[in-house]
Amino acid sequence: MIKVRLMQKVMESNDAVAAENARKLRDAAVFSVDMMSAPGSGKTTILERTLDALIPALTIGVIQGDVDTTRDAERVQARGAQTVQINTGGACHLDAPAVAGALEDLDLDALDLLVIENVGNLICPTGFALGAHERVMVLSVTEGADKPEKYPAMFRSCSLALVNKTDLLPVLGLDLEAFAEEIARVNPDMQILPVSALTGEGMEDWYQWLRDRMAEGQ
Amino acid sequence: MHEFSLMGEVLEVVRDSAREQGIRRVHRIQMTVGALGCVFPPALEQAFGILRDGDALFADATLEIEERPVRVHCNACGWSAEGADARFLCVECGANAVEVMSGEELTIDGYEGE
Ligand SMILES: Nc1nc2c(ncn2[C@@H]2O[C@H](COP(=O)(O)OP(=O)(O)O)[C@@H](O)[C@H]2O)c(=O)[nH]1
Ligand SMILES: [Mg+2]
Ligand SMILES: [Zn+2]
Repeated sequence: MIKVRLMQKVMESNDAVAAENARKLRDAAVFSVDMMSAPGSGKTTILERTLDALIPALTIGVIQGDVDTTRDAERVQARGAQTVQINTGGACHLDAPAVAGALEDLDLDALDLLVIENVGNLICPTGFALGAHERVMVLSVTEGADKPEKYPAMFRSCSLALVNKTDLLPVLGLDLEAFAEEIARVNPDMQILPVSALTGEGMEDWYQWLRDRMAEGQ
Repeated sequence: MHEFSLMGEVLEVVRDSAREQGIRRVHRIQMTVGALGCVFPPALEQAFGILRDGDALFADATLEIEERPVRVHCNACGWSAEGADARFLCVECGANAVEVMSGEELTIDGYEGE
């Protein structure tokens, strides 16, 4: 009988590929964002509006990981983003090798910004680093303010929360404060920007956040 | 069910190591899984049961998972808590100085075989 001690992180090989992705993006001076959320919280709608606001001043690429159809990819491609769809085959998360493959299909030297729309899921994508500079969480107010406490690991892995669908706050009888408090309880360092991708309210702050982070990277 | 891809990764790591060691039968695999890791141990076990099916290397293997609760410690006042009492903002002094001491583990500790 042989005992073998490994003490190896399960994510080690994914993390190695993620580091390679990050290096590629940095070498090409592309700022990148991994967008996470529950299904339907408004990632694609936020992306559409963002593309409308920032193209052509910026050249933007999008990697679409959100499950089985190409509908989201078509929505963003129509707005002038270089778009690659990852067919996850129903998988619940993107991983670094899938993103590495997608990077091959993008003209990175031409891009200023790359947005990865991860699979809509508050659990599975958490541990899978992709190599993006920042992770951004989209939490829509219709999901309720208890999500941070229920999915702390995901919230703790992201640096910014876009609290979306603020246009619905009056209908729901909720206020933003409740969301801000719940988020701070699981990730006190998380920055919070309230937005409505429908009305455009607050979106300028998000664009400015992107511009600031891109400028820091230069 | 990302536990399937994680378990697949675990078995690949053990397989590579076993080949190097000249091990033909693995008897047990030991892992540590933290409560904050987004990994559900019963789902890992289920994936293990399915993935090792028909695989001679793992035919007699068992999977042992050591679960680690979330443990936090406030670096401002020294407050600490575990499990359901753990919070990420200090409940004693309110400081944003809480460090996660354990709960984020997801490791293949080792295995035994011959
Ligand atoms: N009222 C409202 N609806 C929104 C907003 N943003 C997105 N939606 C709607 O929410 C639904 C899901 O949006 P989508 O962008 O596909 O979400 P995704 O699954 O995260 O990509 C669509 O019907 C959108 O029109 C918003 O700010 N306010
Ligand atoms: Mg979408
Ligand atoms: Zn304290």
